[in-house]
Amino acid sequence: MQEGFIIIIMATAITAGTPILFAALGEILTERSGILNLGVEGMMLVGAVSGFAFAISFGNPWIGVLGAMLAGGLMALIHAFLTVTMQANQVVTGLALTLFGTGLSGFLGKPFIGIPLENSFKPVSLGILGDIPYLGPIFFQQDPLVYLSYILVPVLWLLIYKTRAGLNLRAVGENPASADSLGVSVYRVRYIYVVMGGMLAGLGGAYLSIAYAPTWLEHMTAGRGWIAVALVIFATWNPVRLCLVAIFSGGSTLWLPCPGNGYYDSILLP
Amino acid sequence: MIPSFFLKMLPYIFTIVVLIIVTRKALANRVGAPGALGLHYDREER
Repeated sequence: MQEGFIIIIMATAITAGTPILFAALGEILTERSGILNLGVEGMMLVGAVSGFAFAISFGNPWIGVLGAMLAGGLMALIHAFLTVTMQANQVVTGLALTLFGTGLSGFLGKPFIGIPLENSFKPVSLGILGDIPYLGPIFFQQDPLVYLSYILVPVLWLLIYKTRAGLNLRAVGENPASADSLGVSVYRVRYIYVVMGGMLAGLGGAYLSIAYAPTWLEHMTAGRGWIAVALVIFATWNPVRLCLVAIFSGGSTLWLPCPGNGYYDSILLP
Repeated sequence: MIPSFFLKMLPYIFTIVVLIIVTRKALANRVGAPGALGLHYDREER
């Protein structure tokens, strides 16, 4: 009895940590290129609402995921244009995008409030791996997006630390002038990774509305975007460390207001 | 008994503390932030 309860708690901590993990992986890429993105919360919300809208109109959750990544990427493109090309203050633009995203998602999501999503992501057991005692039910009886996050963490770690593109990315984040003198296009690298970061933030939002809840409610991220920004620092900009931190913080967000965990009492952050 | 609201505040308090750290340049460098984080880059100022 007691064992079963602990296994359920740990499996739920992983599902609760996944939206934060996606958003924080995106934020790692963005911050590694030297751009601080405080608009994650807004990008997650816009991703959540457009992911939900796409999933419910096309009847396929994967199209919802694509729609969410597209919407998050577009939001990030605004951020990239303002901070890289126009050289605006990154803190101010980020906060502005969070406010904009909160309003925009509330506006776009009006017709979808409270509708349950039937074709959401359902937990899939991974054959033999799912049958391992203790570890199986915790890690390998989750939905496909959780497995995607398992793949994404090592892939991004390899990208950042073991490839030429990752070396350029880190160089641009550490010292853009030196990177530029060695022929790396600073603007292009920053545009690419800011947009990729926004796409992952959108995916994190979509995980909430397509797999975790699965429904749309106004301001359903409830500050998870901010937690993602903080986790990036806590993980010292390293995807593998982030993976560990995200599970713990996922456990700590179990009581955040979300229909997925049984109650929705109040909105906590602006 | 501590009201449950304090428990609900915890992730946000943690977030505020970490955000204070990252916006202070000296503290951020100590935890290994990318050197040019938050600074804009202009080719013509080089």
